[in-house]
Amino acid sequence: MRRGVPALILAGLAIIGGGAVLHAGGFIDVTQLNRAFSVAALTLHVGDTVRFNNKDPFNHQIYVKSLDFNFDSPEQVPGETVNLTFTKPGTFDVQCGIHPRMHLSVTVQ
Amino acid sequence: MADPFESGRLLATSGVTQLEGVGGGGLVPWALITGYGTQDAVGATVHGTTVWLPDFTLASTGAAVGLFDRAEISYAHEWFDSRQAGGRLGIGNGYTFNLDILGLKLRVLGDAVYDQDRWLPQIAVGTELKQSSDGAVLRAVGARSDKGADFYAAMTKIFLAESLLVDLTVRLTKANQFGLLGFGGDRSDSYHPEVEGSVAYLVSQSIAMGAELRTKPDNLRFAHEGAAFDVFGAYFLTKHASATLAYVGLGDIARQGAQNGVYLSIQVGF
Amino acid sequence: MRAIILAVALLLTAAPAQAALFDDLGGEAGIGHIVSLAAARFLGDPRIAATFGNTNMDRFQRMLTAQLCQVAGGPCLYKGHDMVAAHHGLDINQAQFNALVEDLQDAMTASGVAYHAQNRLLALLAPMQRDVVTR
Repeated sequence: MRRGVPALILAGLAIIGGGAVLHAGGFIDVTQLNRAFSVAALTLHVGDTVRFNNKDPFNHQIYVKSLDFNFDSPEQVPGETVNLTFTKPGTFDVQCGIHPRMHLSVTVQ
Repeated sequence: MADPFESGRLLATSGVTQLEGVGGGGLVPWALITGYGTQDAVGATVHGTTVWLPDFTLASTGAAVGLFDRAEISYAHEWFDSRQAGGRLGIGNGYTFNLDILGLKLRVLGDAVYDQDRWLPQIAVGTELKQSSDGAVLRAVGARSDKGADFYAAMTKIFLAESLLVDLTVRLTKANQFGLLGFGGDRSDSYHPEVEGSVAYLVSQSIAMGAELRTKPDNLRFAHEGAAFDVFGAYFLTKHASATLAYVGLGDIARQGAQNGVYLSIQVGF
Repeated sequence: MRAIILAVALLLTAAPAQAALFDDLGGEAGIGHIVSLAAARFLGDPRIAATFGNTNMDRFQRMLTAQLCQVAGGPCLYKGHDMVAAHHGLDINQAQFNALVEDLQDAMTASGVAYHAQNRLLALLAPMQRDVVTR
């Protein structure tokens, strides 16, 4: 019995550790096409990265404005990808500085 | 979907209505399509014109439809009141000639407004089918027929940077005095190419001023016929109403001497 | 050789004429003012307001000012998209294009630009119709 507990603890740690490795640094692909994001909402984990790929024949841009998480990209030419890594939990509105009707709601767990 | 009566074209870019009911200047048909409908819409206009000459009064009224800035169909009726000259000519004082004109125009190439970076004018081809109701009198003055068809090609260019509109129209016709005195005659009964032109300066968004010239055949032995000219001012009140005032010279008519007078035309439409 | 001299001579006469248009529009400040008035008209014009629904109007005004300044012979460089890309997917028809022209004319009149100078600018913008009207 006493010999099994450290094994259980080690197994538990391995699972948690493995889970942490699995969850940190995940990638989600979103495209910008016809002045819109390909999805309206996303749920992901702290440390995940959204890759925004511009499939329109004109520029886009990515920004987030909130109390504790902000992001502002340069203008994104057609074909270019902008990576946005979410480092804080919460719900954020990802917008385009050129097209004010574009919104992507990202919930970070 | 889009509004088919949207009057979407820019003010003054449809010209006015010329004497025979065709979209253009005062005397000359232009390549512009009547009304203000864009390529997605239709437009229509109605006109009334009176010309006071020393020995005659000429009037015209009619309607025209513009289809998708591409085709134009028009109808006009002309009255030519001979007043006292009628007595002198032996047809009776106040004898009035009547002429019906059906016009068909097709825009084939170019855009007068948008092709500012090209030399190509807006080009249209058209026909005016004319029928007089004075057969007996016409034959008496030597005309071969009381009906005829004119065929024309018009090239219109707006030089926007110079605020200038220029038109050159070439017409194949046998008409005597626009058809009022019949078609063909005892001097000549073949088609003649006649040259017509307009130059207009856009003074403001609502006002254009210009001059026109129109050469005519000389088919009748009984009376010499010459070229017509006018100097005009057109006022575009809105897209729905315009007025044109001109000093016009229609040349010698029926041996009564040079007929110079005042031309006034009102056009309403959309 | 003669062709080159003639071409240079023509260019030299054309360049001052265009620079004069820039002055007739009030220079860069004047153009900025025209564009500001025009943008307000676009948003208030029921024929075309919806076209601007997904446009950042501050950026649009900066772009349009630079474009008109450059086209009128001013010392600006328009670095925005060509007209095809800029209007891609907006499904603009002839009547909407003309509505914008009319609003621009009104803005220039309100800014005191003479009618014939307005026509000189419109002459430079008119060929863009081919790239902008897609419906």
